[in-house]
Amino acid sequence: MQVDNAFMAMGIDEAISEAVANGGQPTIRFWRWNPSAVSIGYFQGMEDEVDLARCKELGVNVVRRRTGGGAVYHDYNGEITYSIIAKEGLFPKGIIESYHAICQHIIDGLANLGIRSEFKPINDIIVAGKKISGNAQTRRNGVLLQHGTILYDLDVKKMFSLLKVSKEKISDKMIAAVEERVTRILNQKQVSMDETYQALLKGFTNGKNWKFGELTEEELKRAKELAKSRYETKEWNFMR
Amino acid sequence: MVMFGVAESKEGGKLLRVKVDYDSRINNVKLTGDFFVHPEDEMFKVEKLFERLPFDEKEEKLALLVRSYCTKYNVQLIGVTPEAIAATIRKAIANGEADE
Repeated sequence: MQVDNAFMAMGIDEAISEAVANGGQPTIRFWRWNPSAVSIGYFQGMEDEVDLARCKELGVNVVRRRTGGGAVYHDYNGEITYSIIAKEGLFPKGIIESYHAICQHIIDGLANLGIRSEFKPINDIIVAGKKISGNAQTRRNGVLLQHGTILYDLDVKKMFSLLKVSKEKISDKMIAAVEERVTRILNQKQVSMDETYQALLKGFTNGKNWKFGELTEEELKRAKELAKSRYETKEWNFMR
Repeated sequence: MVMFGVAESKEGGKLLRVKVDYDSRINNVKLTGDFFVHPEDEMFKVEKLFERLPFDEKEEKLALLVRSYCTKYNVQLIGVTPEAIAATIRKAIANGEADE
């Protein structure tokens, strides 16, 4: 699995999207965030959602995504993120239908681990009613990018300390309430992160003609440019 | 006197937060939240629909403005609806306080 900082991760997604728009191959990638990071959705207000001082204190990066959706804490040890990037025409035209089609690969991947899950519209995957995966999609220039996380392990207390929830409200009761709504791979099966990745890889590639690849030189160069000129900037991250 | 109001709702399924500043007319509306809009940048144009409208514009008209724009320009709102936007703008204005 790739390991990227938040800014390069977003830069890579956009660079690959540009390459696909120009005739490049459909791409699936699996990656982890290092340093751990908070990403917010395109339409969220940074200062509404993130305790910036706490993030700085803990060395947690903060970035705005190009996709909508909510604020997510990406723990290096806590989750696997995937991105799927391909021409729009390869997916159902309807937004919810396309979320379902792509999430089906995660569902198949989890089934490889013996975990039974299902799609919950708009953009979640649940196991026995509890969320294990959140996803977000954008369609630009004829290219669909969907990325999402599969929760391997989650420190709810740490998550609350980084996201803006009234600190008075973070009680044992609230933490218990979150625990009732989310689950993790490790709550379901004792498997390693690598085993999880292998199962997800199989879920996405089964029946397909595929091969491992690397970022091209152009994609890497473009990703670095985008990380620096967009994703690291105050203008981008604090635009709302 | 310039007033500033904030309101939230989850009517459409996702959280919508509205910040509005107004006097006798709506000056500026900001719509934030964990919803989705396709194409994304149309949301900023939707925000502009309300500028210069009377501050007490009816909720039905606000909703119709959004719905008509989305239909005309093929904008898809996911997790938020024109009605939720309109209702939350009205709620924000009802919550308004003098902006110091």
